[in-house]
Amino acid sequence: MFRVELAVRPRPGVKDPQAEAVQESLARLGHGGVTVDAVGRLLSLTVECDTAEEAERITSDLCDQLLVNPNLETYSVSVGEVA
Amino acid sequence: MSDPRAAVIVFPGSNGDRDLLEALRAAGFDSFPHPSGQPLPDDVALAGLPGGFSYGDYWRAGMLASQEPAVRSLSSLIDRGGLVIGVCNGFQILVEAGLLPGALSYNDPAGFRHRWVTVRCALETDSPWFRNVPNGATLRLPIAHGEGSYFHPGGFDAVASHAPLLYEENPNGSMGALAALLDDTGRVLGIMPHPERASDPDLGSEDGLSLFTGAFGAVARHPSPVAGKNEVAAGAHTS
Repeated sequence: MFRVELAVRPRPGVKDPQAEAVQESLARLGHGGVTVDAVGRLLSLTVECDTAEEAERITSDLCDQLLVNPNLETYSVSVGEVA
Repeated sequence: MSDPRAAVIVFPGSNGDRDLLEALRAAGFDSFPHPSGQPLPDDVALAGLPGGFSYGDYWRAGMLASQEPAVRSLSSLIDRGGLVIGVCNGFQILVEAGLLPGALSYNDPAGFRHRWVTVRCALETDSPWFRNVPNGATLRLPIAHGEGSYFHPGGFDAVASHAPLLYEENPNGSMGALAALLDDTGRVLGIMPHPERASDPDLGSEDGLSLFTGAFGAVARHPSPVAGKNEVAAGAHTS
C-alpha cells in the first residue's frame, strides 16, 4: 500500500489569476518580497498495489482520465510506502 | 402530435434548471427535469445542461458532473441528431466531458462577474441554435460566473470557425472574447451567458429566447433523426 500525493498546478504560460490575487493579498500584508508562482491543488491518495512504480502508474492514469486538464494544468506525483 | 421533449439535466448543485425548463417551454418544447444519475431517455430531442455549481465545483468546475450517466449518454443523443445546450456550468461540463474542445478557467481578472453583457453573432452557420440569430446580430444577455475564461491550446484561431457569439466587451479574459462554442455538428452549443434568463420581457430582455425558438424550429422541421417512441408520432406530423 502506498501513500501518493498528487500536486496539480497551472501549466507554465497559462494565466493564473488565483496566484495574482493571493500575491496582491500578501503584498498588502507587507510581504512584498514574496512571489506567488502558482496556485494549485493537492490530492492525497492511498493506493493498494505492490510497488511504487505501480502506484505512480495508477495515479498517472487517474490524471489522464479525469484529474488533470492538460490544456491548463501539469502535475507531479510523490509516492511513499505506508508502513 | 406531442411537443418535442427536452430534458434538462439536474445535477447536485444546479441552480439554473428551472429557468432553462421555462425557456424551453416558452419556445415550444415539452421540457422536463431529468436526474443526472440516470442516462437520458431515448425519446428526447434535446438535452439542456443548466447553470449552477454542480458538485460544488469541487476540484475543477464541471469535472465531476462530466462523469454522470446522463452526460455520458449525450453522445448517443448527438449521434441520433439531437441537440444539446450547456449554459454556464453546463458549458463547463460539456468541455470537461470532451464534447466541446478547450477549457474554461478562472476569470481574468479574477472574480465572479454578474451583469448584463452584449454578445454579437460572428458566424455564418447552419447550426439549428442560430436559425433566428443572423450573423451580425447582437443579443443582450446576463452573465454570472467566476470560471468563464475560455482557453484553447491552439489559440482562438483554432476555434474561431466554431465560435458563434463574441462578447462586445470581454468580461472574463476569454480567448478572442469567445462567449459560446459549437461542436463540429453545430448541434452542441456551449454558452457562458444565460439566454434562459433573457427569455421574457419581464426579465429585462427576451433576446435569449431566439436561440431556443431556433432549436425548436429545427427539431419541428427535422424530427426524424431522434430515435425512440416519439419518432413515429413526430414523423407522422411532418410527413
